[in-house]
Amino acid sequence: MFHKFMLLQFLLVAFSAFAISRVVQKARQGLLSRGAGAVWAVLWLALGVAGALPQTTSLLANAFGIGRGVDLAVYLSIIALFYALFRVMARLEQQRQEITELTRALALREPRLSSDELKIKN
Amino acid sequence: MLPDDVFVIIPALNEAGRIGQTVTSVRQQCRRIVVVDDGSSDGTTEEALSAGAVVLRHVINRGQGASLQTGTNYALAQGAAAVVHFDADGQFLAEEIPGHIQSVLDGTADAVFGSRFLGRTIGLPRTKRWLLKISRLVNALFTGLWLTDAHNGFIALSRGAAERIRLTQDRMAYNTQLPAEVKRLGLRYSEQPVTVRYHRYGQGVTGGFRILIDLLVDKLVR
Repeated sequence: MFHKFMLLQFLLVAFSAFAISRVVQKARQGLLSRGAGAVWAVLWLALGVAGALPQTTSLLANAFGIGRGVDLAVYLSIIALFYALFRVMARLEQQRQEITELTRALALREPRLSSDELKIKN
Repeated sequence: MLPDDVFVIIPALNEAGRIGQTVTSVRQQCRRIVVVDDGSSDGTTEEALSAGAVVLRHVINRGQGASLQTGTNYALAQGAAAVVHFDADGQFLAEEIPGHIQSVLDGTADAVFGSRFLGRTIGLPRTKRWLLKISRLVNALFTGLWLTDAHNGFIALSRGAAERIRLTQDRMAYNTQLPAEVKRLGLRYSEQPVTVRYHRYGQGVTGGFRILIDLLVDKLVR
């Protein structure tokens, strides 16, 4: 059977394998938690499957009522990106507050008193 | 001279050459002055100390809102009965502090907001006047309070108000958060005419946008 393999498919599978190996490596180094590592590994695996067997994306897309597999992938990616962005923004905001709390604690730990203030307090 | 349980809090960023003058003039009215040096790289701290203020120093710049909250925390720990927010750059007149704080001291208000439109302005650039009118509207939308001067830093708070209001907006958006908190907590407030003298522009249009973004981000992620 003559199987025509697109360059893109090859690249997707190769990249997916590479990405999974990086995830495994980072998880082993302790840079990625087990949970996060698993999630990313599944995502990259899904990318690899989509690359090797593009029919799967069409099947999935039709289940959602969308014509093309690649369209579904784009829509899902956009939703995922928005969610990730929201999480990052919330995290940044939390960190901003934490930094201010630290800066404040340092400032209050060492008030510089003028001679006037020392007189008033004593 | 105001009693020793009234604290004037002055946030300052690189105000060497101005802060000494400001502290000295405030000193005529009040002995408890807290300058919060918000990460200045000049001699702000030393100058403020020489002039007779207590200086709290933020090692990193956090913003005017954050500085005021730091100063307030200190004042409350020192037993403050009332606090006054005052600008470092000489835009406000120290002589107006006693009048400003009067209704807080006699217990008729928990928060007093200064208004340059009820009072007077000296050298207000025309574009700034329009910007302030627009920000008044934006402020009213975010706070539910209609103030005649949306972003006026001359504010007096009773101890009760200062204890209950926690400013989490570090930068200029605190000017919107504060009245919003007053409204939310159901505190008694009033507006007081004040004089504002201009030598520098202050918040321009980009500054205004930054404030708006801070307020929107706050709504989105918290």
